[in-house]
Amino acid sequence: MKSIRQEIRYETLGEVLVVRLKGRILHEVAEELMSFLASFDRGADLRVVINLAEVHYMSSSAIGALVRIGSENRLKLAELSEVVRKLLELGEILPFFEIAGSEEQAVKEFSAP
Amino acid sequence: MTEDRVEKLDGMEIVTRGDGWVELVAPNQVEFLDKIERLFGRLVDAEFEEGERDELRYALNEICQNAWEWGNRKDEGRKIRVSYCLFAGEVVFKIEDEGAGFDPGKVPNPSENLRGFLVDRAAAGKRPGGFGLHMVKKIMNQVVFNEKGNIVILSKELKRRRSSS
Repeated sequence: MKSIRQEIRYETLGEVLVVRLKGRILHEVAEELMSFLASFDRGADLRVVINLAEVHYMSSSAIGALVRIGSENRLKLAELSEVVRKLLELGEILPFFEIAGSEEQAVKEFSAP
Repeated sequence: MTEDRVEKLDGMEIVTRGDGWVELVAPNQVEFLDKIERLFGRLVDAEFEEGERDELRYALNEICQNAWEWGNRKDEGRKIRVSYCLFAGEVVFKIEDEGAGFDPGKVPNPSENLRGFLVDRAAAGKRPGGFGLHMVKKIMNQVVFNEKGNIVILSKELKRRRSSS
């Protein structure tokens, strides 16, 4: 699976959807991600890992989208870039998310029986 | 005191006032938001360390986004005015839109009750968001709105005072 946008890459690893975001993440990118996730069957127990290692900017509306995705799905954020960590701390919403040090770890945790 | 100087740059008007204020008037179009950030970012970069510099740019960008989207309602016929002045101990921005204004006291702090905030926002049919003003308040030392709510003043103390040379 591949998005036409350079900022989003999707990959399915087992039963886990891995989303890799890159660059400057504005509302439009987050909107596309939300639409993509909404296309899945709600009963499918969707598990999502979002890798944020290469994100160097994230607007507050994109952060709002992350929060909404986290409230509607089983979500782990992985490999937070320094910028993203700082923004989530500024918004006082870091504790809302499950954070994994690496994408591999997040997928492993989701895949564990 | 020197006279005001008016320049046209890339579709924007820049007024450099004799009292030290720089005012930029830009069309309310999304492509100008980056231009505003770049222009004022350059002015700010010389005065702040890297981390603070990024935060200031972020705060300015968020407020201008709000002016474009919520204040001016994406009406391309309207304008955004951004003024900047560097004092001995602080930097001050003034951002003005041509909208009807709002009551900033009614904007909730999402971190206080995140679940309730999400539910309320979804019920109101609003897109995800609502974190910008809260984050800006954490970045800046002061965030003050006029009574109408279409002008906001942001100020941030300089950690190191400017030399008089």
